[in-house]
Amino acid sequence: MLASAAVDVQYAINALSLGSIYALFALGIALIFGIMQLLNFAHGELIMVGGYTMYVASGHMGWPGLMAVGIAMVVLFALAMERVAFRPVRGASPATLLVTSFAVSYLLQNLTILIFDARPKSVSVASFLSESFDVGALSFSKLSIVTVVVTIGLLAGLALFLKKTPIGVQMRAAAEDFRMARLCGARTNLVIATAFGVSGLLAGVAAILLVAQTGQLTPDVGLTPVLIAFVATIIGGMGSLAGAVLGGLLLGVTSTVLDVVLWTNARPYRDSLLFGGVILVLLLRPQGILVGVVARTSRV
Amino acid sequence: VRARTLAATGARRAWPVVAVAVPTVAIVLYGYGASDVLQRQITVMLMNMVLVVGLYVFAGNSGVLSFGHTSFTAIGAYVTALLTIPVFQKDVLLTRLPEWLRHAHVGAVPAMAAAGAVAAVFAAVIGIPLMRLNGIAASLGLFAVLVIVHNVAQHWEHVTRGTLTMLGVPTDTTMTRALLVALGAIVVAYVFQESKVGLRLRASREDEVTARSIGVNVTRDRWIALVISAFVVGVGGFLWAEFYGSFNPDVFYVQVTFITIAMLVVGGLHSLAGAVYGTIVVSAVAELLRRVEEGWAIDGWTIPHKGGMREVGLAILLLAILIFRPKGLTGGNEVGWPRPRRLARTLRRAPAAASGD
Repeated sequence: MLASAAVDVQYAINALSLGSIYALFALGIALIFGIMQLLNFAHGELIMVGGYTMYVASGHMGWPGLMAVGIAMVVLFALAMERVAFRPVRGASPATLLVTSFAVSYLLQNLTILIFDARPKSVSVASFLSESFDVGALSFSKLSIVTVVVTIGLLAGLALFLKKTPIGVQMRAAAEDFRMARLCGARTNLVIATAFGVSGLLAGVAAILLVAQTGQLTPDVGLTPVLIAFVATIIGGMGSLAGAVLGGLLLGVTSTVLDVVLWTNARPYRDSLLFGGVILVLLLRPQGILVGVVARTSRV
Repeated sequence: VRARTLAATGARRAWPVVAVAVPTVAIVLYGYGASDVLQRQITVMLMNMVLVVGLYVFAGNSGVLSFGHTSFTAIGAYVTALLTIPVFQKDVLLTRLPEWLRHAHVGAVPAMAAAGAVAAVFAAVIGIPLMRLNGIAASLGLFAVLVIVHNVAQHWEHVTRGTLTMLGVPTDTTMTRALLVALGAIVVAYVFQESKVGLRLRASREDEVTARSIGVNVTRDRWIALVISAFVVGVGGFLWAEFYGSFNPDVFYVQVTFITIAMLVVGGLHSLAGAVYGTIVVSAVAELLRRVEEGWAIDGWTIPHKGGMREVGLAILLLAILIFRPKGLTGGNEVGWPRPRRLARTLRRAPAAASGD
């Protein structure tokens, strides 16, 4: 009895930590989409940049420095991609913007192949996180706890930033109605650049958590996160930040549950089920399935 | 007199096809005298042209960009494999294939037709719900289809061998065959865009609300375009399968999607000329970069072999086009009947002034 309850709690923790990291992926995408209708496929490559930065820097510094350098580099890349690629095409149709981000993603991925070649690299960031500790009959991985805590911290910080700082308020206004916000004096370039900076910060943290979990890096490491983020943002309602977070959590929990519930033959088709769900959401509730839960006004 | 006018009109109407077919054929003629390596590259270009023209039939006419057409390529390729791998080999490779499929073996033409037909039927089914979507939602819905098809191909071991390589497909795709199919695709695309459905669709692309208001059933017309376009792309899958001889699901995924979209966008999303010229230009650049990539020596300076350079070059090309010439090299126009310069200039200006840009 006790053993099965313990297993349940562990599953719950796993689901929560998976959901948290998915929420981080989704949040970075939703932030940009809300403001400039750009579904940033290159967000995955930001995660990749973080990973490879830490790969290069590891051995030169301790883990706090490694993390700081990783995050800084990702933020830098996010700002640069906005300035170089996305600013000139601002205002184009969402499909064109998506193609642009596709090109940026392809560029960064192949630059990485050019510099590091395509073979997998192993990186260890903060290996002490991969230990687990016991509480009674339960065994927790430190990493999953850290993931949940860090996500909650980032969400709280982001919420404060958006509610309390002038630039945060401008970002929310821009997401609500971009033209109106501009007419009222919101500084477009600053708002969008800040959004990319924050999105980069989220990607940097996600990169650390992802690398700490897998310990492996390939140039296409960003593909899975970005697909997950797409699903989560669509489920949560595109452009809604709260929706993206809930979408990510929901996706993490659903994936974990499906892994347990599905019979063995169907388990490999989990992704098909998820993307089938995406199509259903697009058809039946294009505003996202959580729109009733999250009031329209909380759209950032 | 009448016969001559008719002939002139006919020539004029067929001109956009001639204008794209001539350079394509010229490249192939040049290829007959060239090295094997270059012949292979030209064949690859022609196969990509089939995919890009197929994609154009839907995306160019409807204005809805599809990120899911590679799923039709994959279906065409797997259908081809199942129908053309010699039966004795199938007995070894695919032991749990349904009985009727295990003994099925057909020639190239029926296999090609089947590849296109199965892709078209698949598109017809998914199109019923998906064509109700608009804009980015439709693009994403089609992308979801690609992810699903890839996922199923990776795990449906009985039929696709899962992540293992599908092998034993006869490697019969020659440059000539690829050329014939590419020309066929061009004709299909042109006939479609000049048909009633094609014209209605192009009207809806320019202004959907107005098109609907005069009775255009946009959803149905898009569906028709999707089915035809899937057929062409499925045939493209046939060519690829018989070119590679062996392949796995990863061959038909994000990479091909990116390349084909890049070719279409570089050339110009809204015209057949854009699809064809885009394919040619991007292939030419890719071929140049491939030579750089292989490394050469000038005056004692050696540029070593580096993987990834071609892809980096393509991405930069695509970005440059998106930023500096968002309507593509052709600006979304067909190549028209040559006419006096002054008249052409006035004609070019008039619609630009009307649309206000």
